[in-house]
Amino acid sequence: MRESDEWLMKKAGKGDMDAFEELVGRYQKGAFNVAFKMLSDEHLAADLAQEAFLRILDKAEKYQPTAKFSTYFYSVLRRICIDHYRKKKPDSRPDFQSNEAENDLPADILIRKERDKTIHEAIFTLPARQRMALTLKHMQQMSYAEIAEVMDCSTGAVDSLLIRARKKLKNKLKGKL
Amino acid sequence: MKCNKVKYKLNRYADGELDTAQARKIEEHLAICLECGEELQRYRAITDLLDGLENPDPPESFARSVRAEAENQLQNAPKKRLITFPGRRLTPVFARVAASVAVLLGLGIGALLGHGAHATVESTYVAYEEDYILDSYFSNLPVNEISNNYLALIDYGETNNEF
Repeated sequence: MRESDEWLMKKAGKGDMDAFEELVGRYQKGAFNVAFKMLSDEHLAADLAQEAFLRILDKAEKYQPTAKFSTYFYSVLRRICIDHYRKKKPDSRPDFQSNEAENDLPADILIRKERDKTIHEAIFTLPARQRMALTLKHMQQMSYAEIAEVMDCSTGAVDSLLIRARKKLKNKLKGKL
Repeated sequence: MKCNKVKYKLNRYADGELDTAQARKIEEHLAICLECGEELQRYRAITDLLDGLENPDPPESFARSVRAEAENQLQNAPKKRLITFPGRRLTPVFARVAASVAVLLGLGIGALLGHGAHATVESTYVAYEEDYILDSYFSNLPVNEISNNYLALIDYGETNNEF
């Protein structure tokens, strides 16, 4: 039986570290990628994702599942990213260095990787809020209402952010793929 | 439904954010309008691309290292206080007695020093007043005050440059 996130969080609040690790396992990729999309630095993304997990553990004892755990978690992560962003604005673009070993990969995988790299680079040119909305929508498959909760805005604002983000991406990727 | 209304809702339609009745109206329009159909195709091309995007994995053993860090922090965290507020947790008898003695001592000392309390009360009042002035400094400015422009700039920055 797969336990719900909220249940795991309650168990973590009672000191069950296995439950906490399970929760981290479920959200690690999402947390890492959301932070990475925001700050364009893999090491920093890992640090801030870890900080978000530690912060929710710290609050786990008093946790009340009034909303979905995922929206609660990403709200905490967003707040941490904003705090960091205010202290030190990230360098504008990540450095996508090609891995030497990748040259040995089959052609179709190489093409796919190259395509993904182009898309990621285009995403990093978007304004931060558009990037965040886009990441939550397409990586976390969140609804507009959930994204609005995480980003502390209305669903109309989410709609508008996504429209503008996709339009810009479409223009940036024109002729590149 | 007219094209401009459909195009306005196409984003929500493609994301499955419309209710059944609205979605049906869009579909009825799409069945007869090639232009809106093509718009939807262009739209889906980009959303499919994003949905299929491969995202990097976090560092190996990330979950275990987060757990290790959490356990480390828990071990090094300061001990929880013995005295808690009533209704939250029962406190040991010794702690309750100690707290009572401390309160009585505090009252006694306070009574002894009470005679010269005038100046202290006055300075406390001044300190509170200063805090109040500082707190309300930005919130009570006239509309045309230049500092309001500064606050508006902060709002603008938060809206546009942060996520």
